[in-house]
Amino acid sequence: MSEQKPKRKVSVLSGKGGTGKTFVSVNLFAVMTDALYVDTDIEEPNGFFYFDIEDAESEDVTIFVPKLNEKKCDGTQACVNACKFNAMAFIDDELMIFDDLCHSCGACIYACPNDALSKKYISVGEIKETRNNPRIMWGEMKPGKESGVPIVERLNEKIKTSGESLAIVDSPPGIGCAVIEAMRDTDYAILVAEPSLFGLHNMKMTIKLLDYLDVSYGILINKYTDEDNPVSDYAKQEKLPVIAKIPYDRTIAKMNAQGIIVADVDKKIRQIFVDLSETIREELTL
Amino acid sequence: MIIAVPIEKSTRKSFLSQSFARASYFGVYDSENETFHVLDNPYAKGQSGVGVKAVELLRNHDVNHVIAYRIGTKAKQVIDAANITVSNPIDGSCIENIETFLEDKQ
Repeated sequence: MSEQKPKRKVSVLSGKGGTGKTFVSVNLFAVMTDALYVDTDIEEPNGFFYFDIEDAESEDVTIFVPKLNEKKCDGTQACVNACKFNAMAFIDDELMIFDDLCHSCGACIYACPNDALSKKYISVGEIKETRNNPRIMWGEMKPGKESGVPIVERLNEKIKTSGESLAIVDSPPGIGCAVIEAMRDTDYAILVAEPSLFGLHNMKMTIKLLDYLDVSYGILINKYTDEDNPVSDYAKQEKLPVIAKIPYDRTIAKMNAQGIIVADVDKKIRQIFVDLSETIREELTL
Repeated sequence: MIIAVPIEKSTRKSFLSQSFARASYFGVYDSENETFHVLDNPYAKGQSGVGVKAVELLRNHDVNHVIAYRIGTKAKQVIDAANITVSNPIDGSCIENIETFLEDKQ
């Protein structure tokens, strides 16, 4: 039996979309070739655009919702009262179940004195995974579904059983439920921020979340210029670590928009990510 | 006929709430007995499924018509299941809306 290597998870997040999470994730992945890249932005995964992928395998992600056996129901409404998510209503002697509002807690099934409810499994999305290099996983939520959290949970399980000792996790935007799930078991976070007032506001929200979750982090300033900016000022004032700066440069943006991993073609950018990868290995004691 | 109107203040002269399920109160008028009363909406600040529960509340008060600006898709499903009819408001207070609706009906 081979010795199990310690697992490490580095997560890339930001308070808002369009800050550069995926840009940072794929470029870091380009210089950390032993890693697994996981795109958990299940509402709009686009990290896989950067790679030629031929061998991705799909896996359905399902959740359970309650299913009624009408013959057994005698209208106690115990299920309706047990549901904390208002996913059920009892109208004119008939039970209505709203799958979209259900959080799969099972309280209704447990509460029913007549065993009139059982589990029904419905698909909320899928996970895709490459078998060979580059090793990538991503999740995709079905249109119209309310929550992608179960898909991120499944990605987390798959990270645990993957062969790689390091996972680079590209988080969804914001600080909502899916982000919190993506942060689970994170050893170190890269907080991508834009050097603007908006950027500072979003960074502060994200810092609150990371402090709450007790995750250590470093700030990466994207689209950086030498001009004074509120993000640098704040980091200095609060003594927060700025671990990398990506210069503001239209050619970088243009290449990135064409799906080119800039670190593969630009020496200066590559060096920034090599330095960043070393900082991360130190933080993770790899 | 029992008519419900989502309102912001707990008076018959209150203007209508822009939101149906997140209204602070419902003005409820019984056209047979010509009585008006105000229902607190306990779901006004709920997280999810408030539309579903608001309709359930109204149904439990035997409401069979609602005057409201917009009703969410899930609330609409429950409204349909409960055979509650819906009409669009006019500019005016809760009671003006109820009176106009009843006049138009005649």
